[in-house]
Amino acid sequence: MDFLSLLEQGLIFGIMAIGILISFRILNFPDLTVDGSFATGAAVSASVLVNGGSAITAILAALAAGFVAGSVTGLIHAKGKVDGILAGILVMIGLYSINLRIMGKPNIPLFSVNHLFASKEGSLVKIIVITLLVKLMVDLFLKTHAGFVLRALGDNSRVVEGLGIDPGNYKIVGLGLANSLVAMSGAMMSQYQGFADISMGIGTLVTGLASIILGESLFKRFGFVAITTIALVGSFVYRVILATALHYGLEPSDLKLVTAFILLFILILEKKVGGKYARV
Amino acid sequence: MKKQMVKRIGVGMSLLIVVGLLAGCVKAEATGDEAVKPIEIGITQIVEHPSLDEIRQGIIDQLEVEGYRDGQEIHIDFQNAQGAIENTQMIAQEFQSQKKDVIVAITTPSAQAMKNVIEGIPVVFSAVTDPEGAGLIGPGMTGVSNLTPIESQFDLFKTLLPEVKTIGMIYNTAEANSVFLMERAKKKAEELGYKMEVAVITSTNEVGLALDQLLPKVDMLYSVQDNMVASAFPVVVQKANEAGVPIIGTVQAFVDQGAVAMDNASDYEVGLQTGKMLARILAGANVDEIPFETTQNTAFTVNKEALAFFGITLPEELEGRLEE
Repeated sequence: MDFLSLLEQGLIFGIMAIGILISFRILNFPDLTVDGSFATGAAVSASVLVNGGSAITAILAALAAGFVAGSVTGLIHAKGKVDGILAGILVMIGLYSINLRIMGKPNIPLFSVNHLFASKEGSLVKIIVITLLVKLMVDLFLKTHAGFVLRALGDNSRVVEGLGIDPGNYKIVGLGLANSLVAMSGAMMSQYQGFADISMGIGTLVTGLASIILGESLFKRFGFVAITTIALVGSFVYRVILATALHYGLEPSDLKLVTAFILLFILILEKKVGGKYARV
Repeated sequence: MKKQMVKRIGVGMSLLIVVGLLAGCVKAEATGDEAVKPIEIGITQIVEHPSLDEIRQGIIDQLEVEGYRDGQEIHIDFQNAQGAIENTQMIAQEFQSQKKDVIVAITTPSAQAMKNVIEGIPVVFSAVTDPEGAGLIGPGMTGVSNLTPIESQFDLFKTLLPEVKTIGMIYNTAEANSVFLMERAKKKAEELGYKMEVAVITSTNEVGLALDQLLPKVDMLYSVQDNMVASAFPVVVQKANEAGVPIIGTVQAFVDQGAVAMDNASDYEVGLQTGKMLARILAGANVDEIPFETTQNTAFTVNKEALAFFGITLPEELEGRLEE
């Protein structure tokens, strides 16, 4: 078991977990777009890199693409009055074709182009710096006026409407933000693993939820822990659990069952002991 | 606060118990008491499916022929990524941390994960159609590409089905191998003056619909190694038979299920070839001095019922090459 590489993966997926936390916990919106936008991030980043762009350009492009994907889901839901889950599914399905268009082929190797992790040296430091940067920016954003409105939206949209604010626009921006982080995570993951593949992103929502629920169960009693920290720590713990399961001879095919069991356990225990999720 | 601590520990304990219980279900490691520690071989593939399992079986059988029996001289640790790319990374890191002696990666994504993670352990890939396109040419790595010899494929079309003018193909857009084979076939078809019509699928549920669109436009169907099409092949055969369109495949499994013929190395043969290469490395050959190989030993096989159904008689030149 290599804890350093688990920490690396945990933090990269942690950025995705922060994104899902914004849509799922703050906006109270079960957003399935993420299963598509994770791969969108990888696709955009790989295309930029293969065409000679820098790693930073690739990640910024992924952020932008993710924002577009998420805000489209928001638009369909807020302006088209389509149910949230359905809106997410529609965009997720559409993204599959778009991702293939972006990549031009289902799998792009990145072994011969220069990217963030082209040399294995210092990858952990790079990941920690980038992740902390993302975390701090999200923390700051949540303290702004717009951030407060978003948080109020998830709690009680009536109140927000009562203040004369159109919740639709805030939802669109919130989902855009959430998916831009998910796409960024996809971009970093594709660089980390050395290739982008169209089938990345399958199960993103479940991974994100597992991370959040684990993190929350660990920090439930501490009201002062930032939710972004919860997402990052939860993501790392989830990786460690999966790797432990693998290490002790569980088949990868059983990992999904392990995940289901763990979440079920935590959720049932929450109910039993009358716990509350971390407040946002 | 004390109470909370107890509960917290309770959660932790129950998690451990769950993982422990599940791990307990897994077969206990055979504890051989031979003096010699067996050579540790890690084998991984992206997903389990008859054709890939055939390849794995071929590798294991060939190793046995060469005197490397699982559980005796070697110990094989097989990990299947269940179609999830993120699992390929974890499997690669697990193999690296266990310091396997040699690693076998079946399929492109599994091999790419190894290329990215593994250092200082020879990696042998198998069933990678386009190793150069997948970025798998480099130090520490070699293997067997199952690239179909395209010339012999089109020769077969011409001799077996001389009437054919339009060739149909159905493939999954998410598989690098399929896209590569499709583009190659399209180019060759244009060169030789055939028309090519394609239908794409993104899930096995779309196979029927795609074929309904495609079959009226084509004189034959050319089925390449596509995992999704392979999973839905019974539907392909049924639809093609209804439309009176013969199928020429690239794997034995397709012929067994109703394609009229194939001329290609079988999956099992790909496995045997990979096993031979692996045995050379186990015997001390340097992985960097072994170039990657494409499949040899193609076999021509037919499905007699399908031939009769379409009223096709085998030309003499093909009779002689027929392998039962």
